[in-house]
Amino acid sequence: MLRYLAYRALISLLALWILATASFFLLRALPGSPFQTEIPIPPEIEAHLSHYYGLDRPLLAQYATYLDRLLHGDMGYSLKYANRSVNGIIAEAFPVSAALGLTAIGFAVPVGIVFGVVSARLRGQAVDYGLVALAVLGMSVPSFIVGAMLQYWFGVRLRWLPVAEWGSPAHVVLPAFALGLTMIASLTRTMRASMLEVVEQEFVKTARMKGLSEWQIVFRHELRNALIPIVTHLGPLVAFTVTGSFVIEQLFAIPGLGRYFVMSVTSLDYTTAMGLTVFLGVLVIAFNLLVDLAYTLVDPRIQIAR
Amino acid sequence: MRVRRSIVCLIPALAILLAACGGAAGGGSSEGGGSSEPASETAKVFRVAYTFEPGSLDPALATDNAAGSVLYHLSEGLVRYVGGKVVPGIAESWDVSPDGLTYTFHLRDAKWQDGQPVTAHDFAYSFLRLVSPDTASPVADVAFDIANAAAYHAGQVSDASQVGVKALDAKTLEIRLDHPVPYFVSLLAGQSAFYPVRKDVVEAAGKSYGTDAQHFISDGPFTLESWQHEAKLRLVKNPAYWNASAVKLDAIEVSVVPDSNTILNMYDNGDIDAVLNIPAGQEVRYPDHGVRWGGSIAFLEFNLAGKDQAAGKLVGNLHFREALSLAIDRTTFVHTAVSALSVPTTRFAHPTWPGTAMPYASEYAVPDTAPLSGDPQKAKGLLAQALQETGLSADKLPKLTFVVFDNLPRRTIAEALVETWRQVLGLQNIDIQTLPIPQAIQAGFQGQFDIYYQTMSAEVDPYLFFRYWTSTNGLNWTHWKDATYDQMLDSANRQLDPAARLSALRDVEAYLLAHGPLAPIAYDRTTYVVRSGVSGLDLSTPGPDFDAIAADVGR
Repeated sequence: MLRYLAYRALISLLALWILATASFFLLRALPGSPFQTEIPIPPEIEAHLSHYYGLDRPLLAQYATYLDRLLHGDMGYSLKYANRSVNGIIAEAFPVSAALGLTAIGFAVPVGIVFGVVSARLRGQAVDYGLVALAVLGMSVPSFIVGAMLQYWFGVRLRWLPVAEWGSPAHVVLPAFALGLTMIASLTRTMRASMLEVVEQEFVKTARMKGLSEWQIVFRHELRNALIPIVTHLGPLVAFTVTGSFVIEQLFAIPGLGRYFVMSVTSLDYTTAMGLTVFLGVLVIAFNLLVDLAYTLVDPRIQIAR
Repeated sequence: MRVRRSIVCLIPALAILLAACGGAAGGGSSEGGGSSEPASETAKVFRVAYTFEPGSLDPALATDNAAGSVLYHLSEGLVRYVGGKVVPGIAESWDVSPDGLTYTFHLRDAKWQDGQPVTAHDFAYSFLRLVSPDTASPVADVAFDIANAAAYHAGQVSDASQVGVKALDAKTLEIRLDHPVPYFVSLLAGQSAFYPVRKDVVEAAGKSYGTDAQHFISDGPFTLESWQHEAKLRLVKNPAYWNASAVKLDAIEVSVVPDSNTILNMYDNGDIDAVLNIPAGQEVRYPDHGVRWGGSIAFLEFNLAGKDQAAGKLVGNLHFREALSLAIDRTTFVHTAVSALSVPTTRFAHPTWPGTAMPYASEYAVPDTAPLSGDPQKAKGLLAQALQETGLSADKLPKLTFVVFDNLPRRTIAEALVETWRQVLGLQNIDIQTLPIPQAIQAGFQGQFDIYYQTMSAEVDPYLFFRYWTSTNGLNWTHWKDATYDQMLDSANRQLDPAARLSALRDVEAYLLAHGPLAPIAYDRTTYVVRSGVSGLDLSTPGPDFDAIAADVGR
């Protein structure tokens, strides 16, 4: 087990180095200057800014500085938000995105699993058709449409909840719901398909022959096996959700990471874009490791190889 | 069994726990969204939203409108714009030397928020810091009229005492200029970069000055109570402000709401008190909306050198450029493709530019300006003339590249123009290239375009706009270099008599229109709506996006 973890750590570091390197060179390959906005600034001022931020040094020298800083956990200063450190931006925005994302996951995962199980058990019945239709709808209606409708009905019309902004628990409800809806849809479909596959297995027939009740079969035998694809699904889902959704954060004016992510790329804020990419990379790798460890809990037949 | 239950139950439990922590952290780092709301019912709070947050509240680093408006309420410079006019701020009065080169400002008794006096030394420090190479200010050039400021910024002068800013005593500030700048006081009022900062606070904050509420000091009508990044800034009344009795509001809240339709929903829901910039077309929902100048000039830029040599041969021809300009029916084009609110123009004279008695535009008419509706017949004649002069044939014209920003209004604008030129002049050789903003600007600087749709700030004086097109200006990427123009503009700006100066600038404008690399298109206007019950809100131009210093909120 320890050897396995050490091996995984090594692979993860390699993956991170590739990610950091690729994001550095790809971003720097984009044409344009990070200091130019809609109304251009004079070249002599721009040259001075480039010099100040070290962007006029040879690219490889900049890369060396960047890696060196990264190893010390320092992601540098944003080029767009003058004198704000990328570490500071992450420290401020990540808890917001994480709170929103985990709330969405928190209700979407149980609901999605229940929907999937119910849909599979009642296959071909009206409830199944209803849930499948709901899942298709949830997958195909973009979250900004759902979000805008929620804003309009629960905010402007009914005035039950704030339209946008962040700060109190009431502010979390609408964006978390909009974010969770797509997840419910995809989880329902995955869970339903997985359940239908498990139902055909020999051990289910055996259980039925033993005379177990249908609910015992579902909980004791089917669900446990059917959860494996969901667990696989969950690793990247959690990593991507807690690092923020651009669309939802934009629509609901939530100060999370998702907005910084997209804006930093479009405005060529190299340091912020690279820092956030590496941060997301660390999370994805960590959650994938957790998922691999979780398999052994869900299904004891899976063992961590030495 | 145990495993399954723990997995399924753990996730939501963890989520709720973290959500609770996150929520607490988000609220705790500032005033807390929940607690501010009951307070706003009793206190007088003006609430407004911007689609982006201030990049920085360090005056030397602030570039955007959000920062400009927030700093307008937090800071007090020597002078400020109120109701579209320059009024005294920290400077009670000022004298200008007869040669127009030396300005002496006499400061009033004013205090920083912590009670320390605002001195001429603070201003001298701030202006020097603005042009210091170590500050890396993106707006340092606004102060380059000050003697030796540009050289100090470029590192050619390292002795700061050579720069023309000096505190004669605690209450007297002397500014020496390189050349007469008749609009210098307007410049001081209009540019955030000229707000004062205090040496001890800036030095204690290091790089963090102006990045959050802890690292900022105010000498203006409000202080910065909290700044939750990408969410909300809360400004509260500053009791130490010299004119605090004129401030009726208890607080101003500036929310950062990137989606402009969400801003409208928030206004409908009563979460904000004004929408400063209603998205185009949506103003019909608000019958009581107001209209005001947006402060920019839109025009076409031609690259006289061309993207390549063949293109340069065509675009470099004055008659060809005139044909393109005259082919456009600006009234129809602007109202359908640019915005129903924009005002078409065949001049550069922005309606807000002041003249001596009335606006410059009406006081100083340019003779023979092209008709707004264009002149297709004359345009065709000019095209034929251009083809004859260049020796090109109409069916074998070089490809021209029309660079525009990659967003919807700009794409529509480019398509409408290219279609106009196709229909009126039969030109099939113009390709549209849509580029993200930084790449489009790079294409501009590198001359990788033939036609460019540009919008520029109207500024406060004709000279500030006309100087961009001199041979040596770094932003003149049109390759139009005309010694006559340079000389005309320079001598016009040396006129000390305002009327003579503006009249000479009118001749400069006429010359630019007749020979230059540009075709004027439109002045933009925007719409806004303010909740009834808000009084005293000043939205005049020139000035900040909004001025709530004298505003009051009744509920």
